[in-house]
Parts: sequence; structure tokens; C-alpha cells
Amino acid sequence: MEKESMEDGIRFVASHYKKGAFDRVKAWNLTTATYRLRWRRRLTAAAAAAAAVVVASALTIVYYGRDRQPDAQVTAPYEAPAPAKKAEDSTAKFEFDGVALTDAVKEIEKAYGVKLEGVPSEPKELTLTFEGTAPDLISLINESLDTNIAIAR
Amino acid sequence: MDIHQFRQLFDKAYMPLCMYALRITGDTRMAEDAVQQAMMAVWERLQGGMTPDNVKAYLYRSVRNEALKIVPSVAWQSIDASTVDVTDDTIDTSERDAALWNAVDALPPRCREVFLAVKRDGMSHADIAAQMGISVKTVEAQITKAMTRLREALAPYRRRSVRPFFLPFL
Repeated sequence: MEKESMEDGIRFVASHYKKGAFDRVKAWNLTTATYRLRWRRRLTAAAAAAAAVVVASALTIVYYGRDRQPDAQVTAPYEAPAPAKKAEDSTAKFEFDGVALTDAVKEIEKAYGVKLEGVPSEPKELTLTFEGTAPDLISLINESLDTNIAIAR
Repeated sequence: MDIHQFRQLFDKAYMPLCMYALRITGDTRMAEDAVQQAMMAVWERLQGGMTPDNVKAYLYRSVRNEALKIVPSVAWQSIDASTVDVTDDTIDTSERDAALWNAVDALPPRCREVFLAVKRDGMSHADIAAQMGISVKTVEAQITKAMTRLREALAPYRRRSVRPFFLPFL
């Protein structure tokens, strides 16, 4: 069995071998550079959103603070109603320490106002700390516990 | 986990994870991409405060998921299910393959050329000798040298499977 195992490994490596492939140092540099770039983009997007809010607030204050003619007809600018926030977009914070998965699922459903399906019947325990949206949390649980839980549509 | 600890984990696990991804994707570029995506995702989650019980198994599962995203779905049928499942055997095989890959990489160029001609291309010793302008004896010596180095690289993995001498019935 051992000889077979070595032969299998040799055949596999020989058939795929490529000089220069799997450069660990290059991979590390790329991973950390990509991670920094992603964070820079997130911070830039957050700064742009904050700047937009400040500008919008300033314009609103200027518009409504102006002196107007007494008999001028003033109509408030039309504001589209804010779209209802989807349950999946809301965020929540959790701290599970060896909690039964079925109990954790109930808390998650209650916090996000969603229904989860595909919860395994065999007992599993969940240990994690998380703050974010329901889809991200479900993805994290599936990767940690090798499950296929999904939000019911 | 801080960046230095993650770096240590990365350095130790990178090659075996690449071998695992390579068994799924069959392509070195796809395997590299899968491992890099998985490493970044795991690092982000660890930064977010996640603490998996078994970081190694979690890494392998992440690589598996990334690799399956990259492989075209038409190719899924040809993937061996036992390769994809994350088990102790899968991890051992990946670590063994990584040791072999590093050993092949470390062979002298001429020796590696002969080794690949035999094991990858299936050429006969006579054909290799004719192509490279060397004697058949030289080809055989290079093969022996390559196999000796590969066996040395695999020595730690053979020890894991050695049965205790006083329990021959196992």
C-alpha cells in the first residue's frame, strides 16, 4: 500500500510539475496586497458615502434656511420614500460558544427576521463571534461546520 | 491571530493546500488562485474575530469551496469525490504530495529532466539517452538519484504508517 501510495504521488506530481509554480513568497505578497487594496477601497467608498451625506445635509440646510417672498409658493422637493430595508441587509451581532446549532438558528432567525432551511438534524455545536448580515453569517457557518443552510425565499 | 502567526500558518500550509487544490482543479494556475482566494477569505474572517476549532481543516474546506467555484461545472463529474472530501487522509496525501513536489523542484536540472521524461512522458531509457546525447547508464544513474531523493523526502510520511512491531496482526 505504501509503495502504491508513493507511486501515486510521484505520478501525480510528475504529470503536473511546472518549474516556478506555487511560489509561496509571491503568493503571500499578493494575498496581503489584495487584502490592503480591498480595505482601501472599502474605506474610500465609506468616505465617499460620508461626504455625500454631508453635502446633501448642507444643501438641505441652505435650501430651507433661505429667506423667501411671503406670497411665493414653496413646494417641498419630492423625496422618494426610502426603500424598505430587506431583512437580509440588516446587521446583527452574535457570540456563540459551544451553542447547539439548532438553538443558534432560532436566535439568527429572530434577529434577522428570516427563515432558515437545510439545518442538519445531527447535533452540531457552533463557536463564533460575528457582526454583519445574515447571508455572510450563513456562509461562515456553512464553511465552519460543513453544512448547507440557506435563507428560505 | 496576528499577522505573524498567520504568516507562519501560511508558510507551512501553502504547498499542501496547493497540492489539494491541484487534485481538484488539475491546473496549477487554478490551484494557485483557489488557495490565494481561500487564504484571503480566512484571514478576513480571523480578523473579524472568528475562532474555528480546527484551523487546518477549515483552511482545507475553504480551499475546496474556492476550487469548486473555479472549476467549470461540466468538469465536476470527473472529480473523484474522495479527493474533494476533507479527511485526515486527504490532508496527509496533500502534505506528502507537497514534499514530493519540493523534492522534484530541488533536483539538479539534468536529473529532473530525466526524471520527468520517464515519469511524465513515459519515454524509454534508450530514447532519453538518444535525445539528451548521454549514455543509457547515465540515464539510469540519474533516475536512481532522483528516486533516492524522493524516497528521502517521503521518509517522514512512511514513518506515520509503520505498524508497531509487537502487533503484527494489525
